[in-house]
Amino acid sequence: MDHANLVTRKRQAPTTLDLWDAFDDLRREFERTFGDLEFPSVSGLLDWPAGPDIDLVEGDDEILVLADLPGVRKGDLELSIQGNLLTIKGEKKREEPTQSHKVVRTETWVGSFSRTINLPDSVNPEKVEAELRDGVLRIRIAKREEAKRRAVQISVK
Amino acid sequence: METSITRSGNKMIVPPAQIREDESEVIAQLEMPGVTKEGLDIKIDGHTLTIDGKRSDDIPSGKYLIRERRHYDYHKAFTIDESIDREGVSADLTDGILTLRLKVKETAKPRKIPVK
Repeated sequence: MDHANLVTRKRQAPTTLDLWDAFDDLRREFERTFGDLEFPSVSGLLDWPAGPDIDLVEGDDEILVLADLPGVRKGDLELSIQGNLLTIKGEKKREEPTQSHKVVRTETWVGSFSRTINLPDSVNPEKVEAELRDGVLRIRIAKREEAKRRAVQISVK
Repeated sequence: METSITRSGNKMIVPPAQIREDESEVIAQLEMPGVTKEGLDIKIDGHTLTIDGKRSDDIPSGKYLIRERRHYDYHKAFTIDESIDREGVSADLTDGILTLRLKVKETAKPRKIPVK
């Protein structure tokens, strides 16, 4: 028997300082300690969303969906619309550091994401335009004619 | 409920970054969606490298049904030491990601000493 194996070795100090890793360790510690107690509010406490931030804006004639997607290329993005459900799917990649590079600090996330949002019923899913520029996705969806807000002049007799 | 959002002059976001290095250079990548080349201002003053990015995408007006994005300009300052060559800094902005490459001075690189 190898005696060295009897000694629990300390985990090696991480060579990179990653705040989220530290949070993850803390969460695991929490779950290990309090896991059996089943705190309903504890799960997800330190989870962070791996997804883009979006805005959904209803204008007079169209619906705008805006998403901040820095580093996402057109080819890695997939948009679909079904009825009034819009799905934004994609993958955020990062140039992998070469062997000689040491990562000093990471505050950004990479990976695949998917987000489905409910559009107002007034949308016309046939008329959609999307543009990705400077890391911002802009989707314009027309409203149905009857849903457009228009001012009607009423003459008073 | 009509909401109009304006970009206030004072509020800033610190863009999330990834920094990596090797013996000859330091690479910093910052996420700054909505910023174009024209809205970017990078300066080195003494030991401070400052990056200012103005968002150029317009803020639509209308009724906000979901609002998660933060419509602020970006500001980040790094402290750099003497080992960084002030003349050897390059910047590239693609798809909302700013990549800064800072060269390490020749004199600051580790040197191998040959044994005779």
